[in-house]
Amino acid sequence: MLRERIMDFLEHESDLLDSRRFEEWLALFDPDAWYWIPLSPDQKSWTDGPSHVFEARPVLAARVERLMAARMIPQSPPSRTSRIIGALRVETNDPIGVRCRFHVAEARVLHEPDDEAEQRLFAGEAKYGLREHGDSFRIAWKRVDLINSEAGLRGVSVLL
Amino acid sequence: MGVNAIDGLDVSQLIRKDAVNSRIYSDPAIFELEMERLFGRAWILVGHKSQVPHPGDYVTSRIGRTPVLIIRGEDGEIRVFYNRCTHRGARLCMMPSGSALRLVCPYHAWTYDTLGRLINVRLKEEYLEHLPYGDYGLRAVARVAQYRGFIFANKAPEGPGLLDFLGHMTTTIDDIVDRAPDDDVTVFPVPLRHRYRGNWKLTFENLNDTIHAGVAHAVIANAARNVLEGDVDAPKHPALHMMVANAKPVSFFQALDLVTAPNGHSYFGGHMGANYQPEVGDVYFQRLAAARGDARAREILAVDRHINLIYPGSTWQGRYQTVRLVHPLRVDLTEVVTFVCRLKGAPEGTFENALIYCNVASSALSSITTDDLEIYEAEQRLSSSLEDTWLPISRGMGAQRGQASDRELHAGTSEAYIRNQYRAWSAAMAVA
Repeated sequence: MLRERIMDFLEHESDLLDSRRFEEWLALFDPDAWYWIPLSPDQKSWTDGPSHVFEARPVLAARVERLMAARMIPQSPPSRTSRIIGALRVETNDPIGVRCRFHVAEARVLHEPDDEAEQRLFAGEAKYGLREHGDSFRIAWKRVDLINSEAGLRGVSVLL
Repeated sequence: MGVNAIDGLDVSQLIRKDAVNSRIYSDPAIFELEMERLFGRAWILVGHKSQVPHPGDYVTSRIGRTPVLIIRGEDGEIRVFYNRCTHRGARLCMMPSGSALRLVCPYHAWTYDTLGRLINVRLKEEYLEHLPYGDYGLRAVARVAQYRGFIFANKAPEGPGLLDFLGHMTTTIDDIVDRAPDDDVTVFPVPLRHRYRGNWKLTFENLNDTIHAGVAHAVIANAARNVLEGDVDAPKHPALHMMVANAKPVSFFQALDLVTAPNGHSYFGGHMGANYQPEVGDVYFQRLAAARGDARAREILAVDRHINLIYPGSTWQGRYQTVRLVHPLRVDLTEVVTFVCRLKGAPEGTFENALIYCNVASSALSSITTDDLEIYEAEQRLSSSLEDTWLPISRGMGAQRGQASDRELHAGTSEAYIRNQYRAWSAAMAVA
């Protein structure tokens, strides 16, 4: 059943991110794919005003290579994340368009006075364009709408 | 004890020509004094006229940490008021922007017109003669002035005018507006914001620092270079070139001119060699040349400044049509609000290039900005825990390259711009 296969795929994606297997995560994206975190849920296209992130796969590849680097400043020490996805809706079948809700908790232990308060929660809706690939899928595009997207955010280095 | 003394400490004792005391970043009393004497008297960029095109349109902004409201009145004039009801001091406009011919306080429905006049209060008969309406209009910010559509406000009723304050830096604003074939820009109404738990001055000290780029941003520059070399499809993505530009050799930055101007302003020439040409370059040039003449169009596009700092409130990048407001919210909390400008009459591709730059350079999720934000927060924690540390600002000291009118030219790797900022800071902080 399509819905079940998609949920399985998205849970696999979440697991790759929480396990810090970022290169395998990147490999889920097709060469022409894009990854987008808009500034406002009203944006229809990345040209519709500024975005937090709008990256074609080659730019996303640089982001991933940076995340894996030992001397990456805002991930020294690295964050741990734990995410839950749910409320999956398959909106279209051909091409496959889906959306789901997510919560991503991030902790980064700096041994500073604010350590405990530093645990952050990112929440919102993720939308995907998927393409059939063998018995699984590839991501054609991914859009992440944070519920606090217009807020002044402190640096976010984890992948959403 | 001088008038600039707080807690028995003379502020002038915290600044030397070659170093600053880290207490200036962490002491709440110094922050209070900055709000009064620096942000209370400087001309601060609050917005752009295109945010309020019609009578009744308003947007909220800040002067320093103080919330203000920019509104176009029914008479067409743009005014700046404190965003605070004169009754109990509640926030008047709750939304970041909107349009209304009457501003009604959400607390007791005190009502103002678009010129800020109090026109109605709830239960007015019970005030009898004890509420002179004329005394309770919205409190206006003392002075408001525009330069080519950008709105500046000043809390102090007296002092130098906007043009005196900007001086040579009017050319920084020209560098954006001149690029528009129709001689005007609009700002995209929703700004991108990032913040950090650190002092506002850390941003101003970072943005003309060409030397940190090759160190703090080395990882993303290296990653972007690897992608560019390994993927034939990659070079068409301007973001990768912008990232790689951080790793230019020191000699490249040394050759650039750093320009410092009175009042703490500065910029450096060269846009870090990021080889940016919009795909629409030809059409854009034709339109600019049609509007301004071929020679003038070339002259406008040849202006090559990277980050312009209009101290202490805003930073400007003409080439990428980006303007940032720096809002000091607390001694250890700062918000940076980034607006992207659309050049009127230019093809849409010029705006798209600016959007990409905004992603790369101003987003809280940027692979570059996150390096800076992490460092600012670490600097702040250490400034709070090591009270009597002197931090040197002496790179390039005594090596001024030239003088042009009231501007100094230095090597692009000099910290002269920081010394220039503290000259302005010290002068402002010394005046009671």
